Amino acid sequence: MDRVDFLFSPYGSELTAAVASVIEELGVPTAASIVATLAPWKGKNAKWMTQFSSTAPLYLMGSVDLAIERAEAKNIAILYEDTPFPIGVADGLRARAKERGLKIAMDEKYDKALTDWSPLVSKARSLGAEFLAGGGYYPAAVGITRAAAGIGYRLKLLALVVGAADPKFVKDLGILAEGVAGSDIWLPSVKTRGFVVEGATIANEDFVRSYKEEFKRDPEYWSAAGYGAGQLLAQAVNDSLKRARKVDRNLTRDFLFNFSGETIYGDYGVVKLGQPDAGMQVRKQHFVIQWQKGKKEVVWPRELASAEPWIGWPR
Amino acid sequence: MADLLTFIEFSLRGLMVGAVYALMAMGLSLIFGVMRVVNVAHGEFLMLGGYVSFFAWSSVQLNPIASLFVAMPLLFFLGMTIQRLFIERVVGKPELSSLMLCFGLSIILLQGAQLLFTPDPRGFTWLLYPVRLLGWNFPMYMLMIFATSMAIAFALFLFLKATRWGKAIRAVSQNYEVAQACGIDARKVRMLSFGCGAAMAGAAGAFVPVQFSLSPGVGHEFILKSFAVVVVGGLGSLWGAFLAGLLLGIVESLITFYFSSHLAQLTFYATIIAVLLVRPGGLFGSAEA
Repeated sequence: MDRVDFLFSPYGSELTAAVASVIEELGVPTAASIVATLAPWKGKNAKWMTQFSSTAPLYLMGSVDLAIERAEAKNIAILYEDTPFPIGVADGLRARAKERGLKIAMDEKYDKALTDWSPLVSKARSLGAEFLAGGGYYPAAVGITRAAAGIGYRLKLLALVVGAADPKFVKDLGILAEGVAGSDIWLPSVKTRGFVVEGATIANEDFVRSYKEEFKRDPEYWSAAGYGAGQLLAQAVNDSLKRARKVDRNLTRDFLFNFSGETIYGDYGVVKLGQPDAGMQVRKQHFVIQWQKGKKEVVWPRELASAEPWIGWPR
Repeated sequence: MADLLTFIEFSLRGLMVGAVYALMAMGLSLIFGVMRVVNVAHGEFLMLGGYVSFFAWSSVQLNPIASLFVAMPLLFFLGMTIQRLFIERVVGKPELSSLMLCFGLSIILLQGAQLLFTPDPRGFTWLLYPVRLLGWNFPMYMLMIFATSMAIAFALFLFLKATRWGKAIRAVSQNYEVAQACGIDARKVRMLSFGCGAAMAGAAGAFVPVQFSLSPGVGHEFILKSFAVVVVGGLGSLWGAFLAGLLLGIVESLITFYFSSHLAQLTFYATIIAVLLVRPGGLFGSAEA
């Protein structure tokens, strides 16, 4: 580790949580690119690793506002996988529902190994839930949607992480995906400026164009997160070189903890060093997306919406 | 009354999911019954069956039931080839040898699938609309999968009961030496059994992209359940595997609905321990396949 100036993080909450203590012990500046759980930062007084992506509780919070204000839903069923990221998403849903006075008809976690969601979805229906939200990863988004369709469940809104935002979702489910809401942390269409590198700005649209040229497909959010974290680290290294004419771990780390601004991935800003939650992301926002005519539309928040939300599922 | 109706509804739902577990476990049980080999790579056969079904659908819109006519023969020949080239060498050797060999095969098949198919989850939608049956809504695809699984299971029973090769398989599983003394070519029987077992896993796998989600690691989710089914049903007992598979589906569905999915998993694996303590041969255990 003596020759390492900084690290790129692994993918996901569980793996990042596992390496966090090693990073902190060895003192290597790291911008954790895809980690939505708060656990590595909450009360940990972190000194070396910052959270580049958004936090799990923010993922579906907007869908609660949407369900109340546009779908006029009277209650919610929260159904989520029992692993760190979905638990965080459910925490956000629960908190927002309580804050907005939305009745919680069902609040249940399920085992990671679950393969058939119909008993749980049927339970939500038997409890009269009008808005079903939660999920876990891709198989859960597909499984919950299929289970709901299979029993003829009609909902005012169905909002699922993270699989519902995956382009494969609409490919695999076809018409059933129409009207399903999800959460996106980044979209190719979003205008972000990014950093000025070697005199030229590499904005989101530049990244998307280059990615398409290189890989012949649209980038996903994880690619953008990796690239954005790379931009941030590059800027931190440049800052260190400018100030000390060498790559200094302390200076690189200081930049990661003090910088507040934008990468191609969107806003970045973390709790400052010395605070109990140091390193935790506080600026990154989420969009509520919805599949409409095979296209992913931003439907919430209103000011960033590319389309009016569709109320009622299935379509 | 409403409670009883709910109980019946979820028992029926569980029965339908359990049919896939039963197919998978019957294949595993058949292989163990004839060769005393614990085929850890069985989950990967299911995964391969799933990819055959997925590509049959995405390339020529072949539905999962029609794709069985491709998946089952393919897996049957793959199973026979693997048995002939690798498994045959460890038959009769200490159980650890076959376990390690199957474990190695499992890793090779899994990693090969990762390379070939990528780790992306896949699936497709087929007959996903509710059908009213006995007063309840069931997804049409679930009814079709259940009916087909039952037909395959009974076809296997019929094959073992009524055909020359089926009888030979039963003879070898009951007593290898006597079967050989009667002129049965045990080597061919083992190869055939392994092929049939793999084909059963392939058949269960063909429904995975419709019912669950398909990825190279999907076999791991099913192999643990299959081992549980085989142990509860009775090692080497095909009827046991069939009934325990259906039972697992029902138990899983009911406990998930009434309590939680965590408790459903826990109950099932706790049942294995209880069965092994009280009736080590399994609920329906016997030496015959």
